[in-house]
Amino acid sequence: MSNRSPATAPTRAPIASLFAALVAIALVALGVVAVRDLAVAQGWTTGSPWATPVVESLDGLTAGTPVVVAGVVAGVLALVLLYVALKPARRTHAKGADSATDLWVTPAAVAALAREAADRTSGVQAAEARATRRKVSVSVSVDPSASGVAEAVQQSVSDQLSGLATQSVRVRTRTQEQPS
Amino acid sequence: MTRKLNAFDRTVTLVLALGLGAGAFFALDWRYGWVFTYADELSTQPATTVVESSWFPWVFAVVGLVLGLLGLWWLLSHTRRPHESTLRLRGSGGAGRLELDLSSMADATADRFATLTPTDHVRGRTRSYGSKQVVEIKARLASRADGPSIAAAARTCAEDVARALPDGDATCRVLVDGPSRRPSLGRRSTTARVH
Repeated sequence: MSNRSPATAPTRAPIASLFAALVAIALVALGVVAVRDLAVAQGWTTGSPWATPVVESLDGLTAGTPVVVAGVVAGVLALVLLYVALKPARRTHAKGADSATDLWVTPAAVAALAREAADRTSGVQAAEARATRRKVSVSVSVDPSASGVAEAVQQSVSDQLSGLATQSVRVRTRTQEQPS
Repeated sequence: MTRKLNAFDRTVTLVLALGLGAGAFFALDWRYGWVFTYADELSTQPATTVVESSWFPWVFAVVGLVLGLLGLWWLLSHTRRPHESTLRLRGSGGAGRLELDLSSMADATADRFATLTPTDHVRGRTRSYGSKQVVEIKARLASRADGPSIAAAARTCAEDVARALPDGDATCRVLVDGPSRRPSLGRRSTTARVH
């Protein structure tokens, strides 16, 4: 079954798509301006055309500070767009542990499951978990009188994530202060 | 979003980046004279003559309208999800056509997944990844969800789809998201602690 599953991992829309949408909106705006200028030129509506002043404003331009500023801004924008065009789409999910199933889980889901498992472990006062696509970090506050909590949490989280996630689990414990 | 649209977006972005880069180079080269020599002052007289001619508004409007419509089509194509709602089965032939309503199958698979494991907001939909048709189940973790039951439910659904379509015309993909950040009223739970 796995060999028939799509090879593509679930991803967010690439950032280039966001930029592409902005360019598309700019094209639509250009169309509106062009039709408006035609309407003004033909006397269908009142006003003055917008294209002519833009061209005229560039007449007599010299290589002064505004040109340098515009050049630097354009250069920076070009570098940003180059990065945007080449940046791969961000993966949203990590592959599940069972290679026979096309199962994908977000790091947030893995963290929630790990936190829940750690929180239910005997001797744990409070638990927090964070996950990336590579590792799960669990931080627990433990009862000072309890022993072997870290190992129990490790086991509990591993059991909870079995078949679901391949990330390595790291447990950090801190002893809860007893109120005097 | 299709791969073609993705590639088109990236190509346009790349072309604009190169265009801006070239513009930046010429602007700075004009000022500092690194490579080429230019006139001291920019003259747009020929362009002004064109813009002020009687035919220009018509040409500008036609070109602008075409570009605007292309922009609109481009914008709308980002909102479309590549999918096939029906699937032509391999038994189709001259005697008749066999088609499967893949969307209904996705809904049924999502319902089945929801009964197998504690998850919220389970949705089933169809997607195309290139030439492959996929029944995609998307679910959010519910409280008391556990990993092994989710993995088992995903396996069951994948087996159900594989059994329904033994020729592999479509596969099942399960996406599990984190729990909703806003706890729904009446379903909030806390862990009981016994000290």
